[in-house]
Amino acid sequence: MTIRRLLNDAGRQLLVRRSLSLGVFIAIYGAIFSVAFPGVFLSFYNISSMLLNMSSKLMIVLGMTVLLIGGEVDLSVGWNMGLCGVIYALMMTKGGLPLGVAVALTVVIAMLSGLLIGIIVAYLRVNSFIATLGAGLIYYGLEFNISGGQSVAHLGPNATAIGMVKVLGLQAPIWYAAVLMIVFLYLMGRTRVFRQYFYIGFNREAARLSGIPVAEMKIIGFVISSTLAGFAGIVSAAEYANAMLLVGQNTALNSIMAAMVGGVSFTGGTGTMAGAVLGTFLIALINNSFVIGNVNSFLQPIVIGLILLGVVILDARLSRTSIGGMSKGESSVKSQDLATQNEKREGGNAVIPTDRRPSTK
Amino acid sequence: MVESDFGTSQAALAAVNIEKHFPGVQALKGVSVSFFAGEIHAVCGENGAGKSTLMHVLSGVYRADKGEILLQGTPVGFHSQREANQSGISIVYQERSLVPGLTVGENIFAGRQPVFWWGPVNWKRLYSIAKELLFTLGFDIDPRQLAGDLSPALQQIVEIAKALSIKPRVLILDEPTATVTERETAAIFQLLRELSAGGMAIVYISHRLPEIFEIADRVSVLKDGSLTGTASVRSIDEDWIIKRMVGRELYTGRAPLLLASPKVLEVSRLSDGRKFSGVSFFLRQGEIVSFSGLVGAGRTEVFRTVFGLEKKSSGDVQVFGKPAEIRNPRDAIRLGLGYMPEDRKEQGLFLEMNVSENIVVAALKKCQRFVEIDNRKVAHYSETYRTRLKISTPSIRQKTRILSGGNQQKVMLARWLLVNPRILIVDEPTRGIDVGTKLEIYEILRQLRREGSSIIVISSDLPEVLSISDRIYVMWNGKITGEVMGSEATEEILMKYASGMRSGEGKA
Repeated sequence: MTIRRLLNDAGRQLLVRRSLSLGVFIAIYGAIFSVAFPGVFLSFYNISSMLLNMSSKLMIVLGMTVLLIGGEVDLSVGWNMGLCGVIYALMMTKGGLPLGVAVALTVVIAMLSGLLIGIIVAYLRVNSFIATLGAGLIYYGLEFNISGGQSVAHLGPNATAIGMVKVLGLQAPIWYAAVLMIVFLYLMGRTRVFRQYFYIGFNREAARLSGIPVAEMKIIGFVISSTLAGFAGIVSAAEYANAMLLVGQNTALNSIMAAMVGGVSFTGGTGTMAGAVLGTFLIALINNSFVIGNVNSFLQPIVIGLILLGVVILDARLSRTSIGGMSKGESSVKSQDLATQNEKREGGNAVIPTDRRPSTK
Repeated sequence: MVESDFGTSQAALAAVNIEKHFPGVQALKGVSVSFFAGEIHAVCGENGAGKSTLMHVLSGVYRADKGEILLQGTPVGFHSQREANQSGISIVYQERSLVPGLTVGENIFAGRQPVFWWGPVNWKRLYSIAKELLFTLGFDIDPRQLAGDLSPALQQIVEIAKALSIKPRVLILDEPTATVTERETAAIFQLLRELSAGGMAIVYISHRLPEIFEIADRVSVLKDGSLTGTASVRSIDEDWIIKRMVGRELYTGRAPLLLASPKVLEVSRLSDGRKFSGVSFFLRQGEIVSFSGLVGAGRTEVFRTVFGLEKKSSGDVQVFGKPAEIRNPRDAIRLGLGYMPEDRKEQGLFLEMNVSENIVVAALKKCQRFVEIDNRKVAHYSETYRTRLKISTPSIRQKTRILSGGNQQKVMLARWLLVNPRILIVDEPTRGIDVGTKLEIYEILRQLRREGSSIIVISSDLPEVLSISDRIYVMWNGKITGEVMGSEATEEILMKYASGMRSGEGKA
C-alpha cells in the first residue's frame, strides 16, 4: 500500500466518519489556538472553565441525542432545566429540606414530567415537536409563578456544594457530565436496548413489525431527556448559587444544534452519540476561542451558524453514499470505496432525488 | 427465428454497445437494443440482470461509461432526466412517485403547472387539461381528488398520465401492472396498444411472462448485464424466455397432504369492524395455506389484526390450541408468529441501514452478550443467511437501499428465518420480483415447511397460489368466500370466489 493510497483512504475515512473528522478538526483548531495564545489556551484554568461551561449543556445534549436518533425531539429541555433549578432552590431555601431529599424530589418531578410527555407522544400520537413545545410553555409559566418572577438567589453552602465541590481540581459538574457521557456512549454504542432507537428512527413501522417496543422506547427516551434536563437545572443552580429563570432560554435549540454538528439527523436514525458529544465540544471550543481571542462576540453566532450550515450541506451530500450502519468504524474498505466512488459519480451528474435512486442492478 | 437487430438509424431510441460499471459490478456489458416507433418492446431479466440500469441510462439518470444512445439516429447525451423528458423520453417507475396529499391534477403537472402571466397557478386550466388528458386515456378520474385516495391501480393510471402529459415519443414503463388487478391490467393494455398504434415507441419492463405474450411485439432478455436474445413474441414461447433469463426450466411441485397434523393457528369469527368480518380459518402444522383474492378484499387486514398491528372488534385466535390475546407484534412474535409485510420499503426494511442490521432486527436478543450487542454474532448470523438465501450484495455492510427488489425481499425473509417462527405469514412475497428469485423464495418456503413450520401466503398472483398451496382460502369483500384444496384448485374456481360470484362460507 503506497503512501498515496494511505492518504487517500484517510481522506475517505475523514469524510465518511463524522467522529473522526470532528476529532481532527478539534485537534487542529486547538493546536492553532494554543500556538496563537501560548500559555493561555492550554492553561489548566482555561480548559477547566471551558469544561465547566459545557457540562450542563452536554448533559442535555446526551438526552436530546437519544430522542433525535429515535426520531423525536424535546423542545422543553430549557424551561424544564429552569423550572427544576427553581424547584430545587426553593426546597433548599424556603423548604429547608435536606440536600438528598431536595435533589431526589426534583429528579423525580423531572422523571414524571418526562413520563407524561412520553405518554402523550407515544400513546396519544401527538407530534413530539408540538407536545414538547406546549410542555415547555407550561414549565416556563410554572417557573415564573412559583418563583414569583424572581430568580431564587442566596443558596446556602449546603445547597451549592453539589455544584461547587472540586475533585482533582475539577468542579463537580464536569464530573457529572463526564460520567453521564461515558454511560450514554456505552448505552447508545453497545447495548441492545438502546440500539433499538436507531431502528425506530429509521423506520418506526418496520421496527414495530419486527417486535421492537416502539412506544415504550419513546417513553424511556423522554424520561431520560427530562431527567437529564432536571438534573442539569439542579447543578447549574448550585453552581451559581442562584436559580436563574432564563438559564435555559436557548438550551433546546443549542443542544439540537450541537447534536446536528455532530452528525445526528433531525429525521431520525442517523448519527452517533460520540458525534453529538464531539459536536458539543467543538461549539464549546469555538466559544472559548472567541473569549480568549477577544474577538467581537457578535461574530460568534455567525461562525457557529456557518459551521452548522456547512455540516448539514456536507451531510446531504454524504447521505448518498452506500454504507449503512449506526456504529462507528466497522465498514469495510470495500464499501468505503463504493461510497466515495458513488460520490464522484454523482458529482459530475445531475442530482438524483433520493427516492429515485436506482439500485445498482 | 431470432431476429437480428434492425438498423439503429430507423429506431426511435437505440442503445449501442452500452457499458455501465459500478464499483464491484459490471452492470451492463455492451448492450445494444433498438426500440422502434409503433412497437411495444418488452425487456425482461432477473434481478441484477441490468434492466433498471439500462432504463436509467436511456432516461438520462445515469451516463453510460461507453457506448451511445441514439434518438432517431442522432447520438444524444442526457445530463438529467429533465433533458431526456424534453427530448421526448418519458418514464414510469415501478415505485410510486405520486404525492398522496396533492390532487391528481397537481401530481400530473408537478413542476409544470399552467400559470397566469402574473404568476399564480391557473387552477381551472390545470384541472381542465388534466381531466381531458385522463379522459382521452379512457378514465373518468376526478383531477381534484387527492392522489392518495385512489386505488393502487388508478394511481398507476395517474402515473402513466403524468408520463404522457409531456407528449413523449418514447414511453418506458417499469412493471406497470405490479399492483393492479386483472380488469385494470386489461384497461392499461388497451391504452398501451392505442398509444403504440399512434406511433409511440413503448418499452415495457416486466417479469410477468404471460403479460409479455399478451402485450408485446418484441421481447429482449437480459442476463448478467448482457443481452441474451431479442425476438418477436410470435416466434417464441415462455421457455425460450426463461432459458435466456435463468438458464433453467420452471418447476412447480406440491407436497403431500397433511390432514392429520394438529392445527397451529385457528381463527374463529374474527372481525375488525371495518374491513372484514366473521373470518374463520385454520392452519395445520407443516401446511402452506394461501389467501387468494383481489387487492382490497381484506386479506392483509385480517393478518395485520392476527399479528397485533390492528385491534379486533370480535372473534378469537388460538395459537397451538391455546387462546391467544395478541395486543402487539411483540406478543405475536413471542407466541411463535412472524409477519412479512407486503410493502417492504415502507413497513419492512430499514433502507438506510445495512444488510446485517436488517437481518438481525427481529432477533436482537440472539445477538446479545449480557446487555451488549455482540457484533461477531451479528456478522455470523447475517453471513449465514446471506449465503443460505444467496443474497447478492458486495457486503453485509451495504446499505439495503441499493439492493435489487428480489434481494431486499430475501433480506426480509432472512430476518424471519433467523427468528425461526413456527407460523410465518408472508404477504405478497414475490411482488415485483423476477422469475428466478421467485423460484428461490418458493423453495425457501417449502424448505421451511419441511422443517415443520407452517406458512400462510397472501398472494394476488394466481399461478403462484396454484403452485405452492396445500390449501387455499379465497376472500372477497372482507369475507372468506371459499376454501379449496390446492390439488383441486384452478384459476377459474379461484376467480369465481374472488369476485363474489360463488358464495357460501368455507367449511372452516
